[in-house]
Amino acid sequence: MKTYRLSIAALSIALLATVKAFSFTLLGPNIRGYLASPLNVHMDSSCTSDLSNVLNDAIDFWNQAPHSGLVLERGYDVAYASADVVNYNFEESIVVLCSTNFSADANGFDANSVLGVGSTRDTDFDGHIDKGRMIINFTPNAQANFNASDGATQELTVIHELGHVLGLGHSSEPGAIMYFTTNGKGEVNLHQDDIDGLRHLYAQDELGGDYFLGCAHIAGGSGRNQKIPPFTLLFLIVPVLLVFLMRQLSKLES
Amino acid sequence: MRSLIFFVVLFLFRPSHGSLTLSEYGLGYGILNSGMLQESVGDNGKSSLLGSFTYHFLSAHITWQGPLYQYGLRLAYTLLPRTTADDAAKITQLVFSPTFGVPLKPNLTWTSGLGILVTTSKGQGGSVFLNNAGSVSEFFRPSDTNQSTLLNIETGLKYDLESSWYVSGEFFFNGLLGEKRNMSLFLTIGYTWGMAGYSGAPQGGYE
Repeated sequence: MKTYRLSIAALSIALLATVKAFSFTLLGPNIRGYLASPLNVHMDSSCTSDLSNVLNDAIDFWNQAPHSGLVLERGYDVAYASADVVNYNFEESIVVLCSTNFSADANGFDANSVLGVGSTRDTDFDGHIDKGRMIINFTPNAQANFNASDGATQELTVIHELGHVLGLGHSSEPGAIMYFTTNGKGEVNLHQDDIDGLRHLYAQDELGGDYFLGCAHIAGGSGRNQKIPPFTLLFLIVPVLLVFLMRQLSKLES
Repeated sequence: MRSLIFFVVLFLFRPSHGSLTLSEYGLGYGILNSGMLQESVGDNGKSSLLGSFTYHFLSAHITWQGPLYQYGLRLAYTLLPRTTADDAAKITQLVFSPTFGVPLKPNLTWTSGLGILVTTSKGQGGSVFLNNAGSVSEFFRPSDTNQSTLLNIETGLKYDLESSWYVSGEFFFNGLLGEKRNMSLFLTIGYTWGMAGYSGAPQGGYE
């Protein structure tokens, strides 16, 4: 009786203490993640080595998100005119532009208050994002020039904008990377809300997809955004039941 | 191919020679603390290594006793989905695992399993206006349903309490060989029916 009461109390406390809302959003009404895997992130050759290092950190950051099929890799340096990047006139999936005329390139965003922008384009008939671009503010004398920011802010900015390039919108969760501002954030860590959003866009299927136990390409095909066929569970249960029934039958026969 | 490998592993751990007898079946309440030992920010806004979110499960299991070991099936499903305040999307999880138990003491069993962890994210659609660099922009809630299916390597201990109650603690591992390694702690308390609650030692007797 004592155990019974204890378990009811534990259940009540746990339910009240931990269930909370999440609030990730997406950049488009019906968008789905990129089909390419691994997904390469290319950078404008005019960008600084500092940005290059921060971009590598941002790629590592999103790659760590558990339960998602996203695999990001650093691509090569590219040389496009600003207008081409702004208008998605590039061959690669994702391009990072270091803009010296940020307000013009970033559709009017204020160069004195915005460090960078990230956006996507989804022309795939299935809603998959096919291209994304990140524009970082290197406008001379601008108050929000990337070089004028401290290291933590630079890292948060690039991680946040890469989140947009991957398809995530803003979150109303202040602790999330995808919250609209970097102000007040001392640490750069994944929030459960970011994990939920990324998992929604880049679902992982270890039974039917490319990755087994988190690594090793075993067969071709993309595991993303694939739903489990309804018979999968049945497929899992049947062998176990068969073994059990066969043993019961042999027991009866003996 | 991956499913085939999965079943080959299951086959290697199939019950050994000898008959199986139904040992117990039970229902329990479980909490799954996801993302342990990976520094992340929880819903309280604080960074921690103790997991970023806890899911609540209703867990059912059935166990057969072999000559030496126990074999079982476990199905657990989220009691309450993780959800937005306005039901824009819901996240549920399902754990299905064939389990293998080794009795260590009469009421203590080491359990292990290789199962699947299915996470379903179901969007309800719609949009929301949020702050965006000094102005307000429209962002979109998910409108489709996606599922992630991960192989779940499980290991832990089950302790049988008095009068058919049990508690268990297990670690779930996902993506062990990749960058996205994830460890979760699954704690369960529940009630069993069957062999009087104690399922450790092989049962036997004289007639």
